[in-house]
Amino acid sequence: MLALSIGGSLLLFAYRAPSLEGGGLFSPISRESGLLLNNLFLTTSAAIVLFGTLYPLFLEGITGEKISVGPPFFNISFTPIGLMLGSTMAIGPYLKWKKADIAGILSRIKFLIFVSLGVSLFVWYLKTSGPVFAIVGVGVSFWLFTATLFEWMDRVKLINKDYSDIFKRIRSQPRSANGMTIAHLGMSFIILGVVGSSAWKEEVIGFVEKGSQLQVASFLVTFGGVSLYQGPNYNSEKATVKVEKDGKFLENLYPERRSYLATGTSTTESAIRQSLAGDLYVTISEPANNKFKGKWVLRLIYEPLVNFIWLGASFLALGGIISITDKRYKVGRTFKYRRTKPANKVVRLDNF
Amino acid sequence: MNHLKLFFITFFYLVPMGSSMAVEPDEVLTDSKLESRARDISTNVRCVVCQNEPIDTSNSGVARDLRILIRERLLAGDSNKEVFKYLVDRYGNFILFKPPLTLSTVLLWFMPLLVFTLGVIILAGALKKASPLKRSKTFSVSNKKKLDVLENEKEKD
Amino acid sequence: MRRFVFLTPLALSLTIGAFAVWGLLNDRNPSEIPSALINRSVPNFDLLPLPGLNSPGLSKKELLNLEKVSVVNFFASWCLPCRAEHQSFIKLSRNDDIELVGINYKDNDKDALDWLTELGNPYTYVGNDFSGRTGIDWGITGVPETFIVNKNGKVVHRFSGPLVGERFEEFKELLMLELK
Repeated sequence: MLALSIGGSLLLFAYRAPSLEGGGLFSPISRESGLLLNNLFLTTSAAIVLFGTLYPLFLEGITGEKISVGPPFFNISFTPIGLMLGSTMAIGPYLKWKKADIAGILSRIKFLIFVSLGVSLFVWYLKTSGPVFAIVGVGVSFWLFTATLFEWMDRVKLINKDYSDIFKRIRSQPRSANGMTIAHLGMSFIILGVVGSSAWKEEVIGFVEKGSQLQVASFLVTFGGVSLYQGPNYNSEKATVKVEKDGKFLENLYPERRSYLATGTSTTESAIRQSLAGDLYVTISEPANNKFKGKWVLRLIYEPLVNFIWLGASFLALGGIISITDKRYKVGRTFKYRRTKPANKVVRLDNF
Repeated sequence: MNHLKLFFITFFYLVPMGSSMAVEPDEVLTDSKLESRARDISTNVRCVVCQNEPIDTSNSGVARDLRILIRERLLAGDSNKEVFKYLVDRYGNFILFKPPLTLSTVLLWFMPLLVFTLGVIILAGALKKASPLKRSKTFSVSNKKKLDVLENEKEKD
Repeated sequence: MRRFVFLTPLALSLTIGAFAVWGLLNDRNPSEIPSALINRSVPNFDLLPLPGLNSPGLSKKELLNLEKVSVVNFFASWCLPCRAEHQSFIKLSRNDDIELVGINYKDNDKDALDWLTELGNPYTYVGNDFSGRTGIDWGITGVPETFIVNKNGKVVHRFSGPLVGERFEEFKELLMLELK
């Protein structure tokens, strides 16, 4: 079935594509070339994932050698592409169709570049440990966020301090433009979330009994012991864990170890304290070493900024949906209203 | 902006795993520098009895043995490279999540750069095709005048 | 010429498809990895015997001194497939041309002793690998695992899983080759 759908469509492509006319003319620096550059980055990323995943299979088929290609390969290969993409995306909204004045654009927003560099340096000062990409990543995220926001503000003429028609101008923005802005903001969140949760993750593990305390990030966690209860199809050992910060009580979390009666397997149910600043995961398990029988293993993991990933992703999706619902893309409509001859509609996409 | 959706899907794959759920407190070394080296190494070592998991997150007995072994080697003064070699001597390159750069993996490691370069070349070609006129030196004067007129019209939009 | 450029996506996907089909059809086991010890000298080991057992322990030096083809079998009393293949080793023990060595992997001394008493002890030597370190040195991925070592002390084959039925026949063939 896959062979038919993929093979069939690619065969069609091979047959028909040569007869398709190329697009219009545009200057090497323009919105069109920006989109092409975007495609270059994304295609390279896709190729990295495809090739990296399939390589062990290829190699084994050809030489019989067995290797593994895991996260280190993908991280090393993808990070530069991701950072380049994030940085250039910031300029995208400023580019006009056909021909864009890159010098003019950069001179207007170069103050944002300096501020982003400043943010990077500040982060470096705060977090002396951690990989380089984290510091760069935060800078890129900040750059993408502010540049996107600034372009929108410029478009609705917020900066001109002409507040009289501001709401009218905001509402009259074409949907594809709003979609773009929202999606680009989402991207800046994703970059921030990925950087924060991977580079600055903290983990603390300890043997605990009732009253034991562990510290992770700025949280003080107290283990309050385990109680047993029975669920619908499982037995559970539920721990009470108290979370405090700066002396103030935040909440109690209840991680569990469940054993399912039918299969005899057991699962770990983690307890999570979520916030935009980060997620605190708490789990319990029994010690592997019999020497510590009677105690529990308490694991605390703090992932800073991780929820920005989900927030960013929803912005991406939202931006995409808003863009698609732009009236100008409704090709079907012309068809519906056609009487004697089709109207010659020239879609102007260059005025935003 | 649907390109971004594709990006989002590829990005998801790449969010790195790093939290353990398997390292036990009695394995943790008191020297935090050595311990973080041990953790780094563990995330790069594949558990041979599990499905595509690093020993850092695997609950299997072999994974725990290897974690303890790695810490012993580090305490004995081995460098990260020596620890990896110790493991590869016994299990082969399969045990490394970061494939070593050998003749058989050169293609793998340089592929991103190759694809990107190929893409740049194609991109340059597309850009050239999209704005060919100005580059032609043998462009006639009358054609140049026509081009100027057209360009002025375009700028008025 | 230009037309052929547009065929590349199809060509690429056909190539990938071919590899995918090969990967699925062949009776290749994706999680089975080739032993890193093949054609190398046996790793260093020096194991004490199991207390209460009449077979002595073994070290690398002693194994090499034997100058015989040997079969090294990692087993444990908690391993069910080991129980299944044990008959094969009882059969093998009748052959005086090969040295049968058992390595008891991460086991409890008493359980191992009971197990061998119950099922019979085919091994000339039994090493006690309580910690599992020797297992790691031999690069095993579980039990049972069996190695064929030639007269010069070089590891020539590794078998993962129980040696029963067809697998055992394969094993015997390769073993016969070494004895020539």
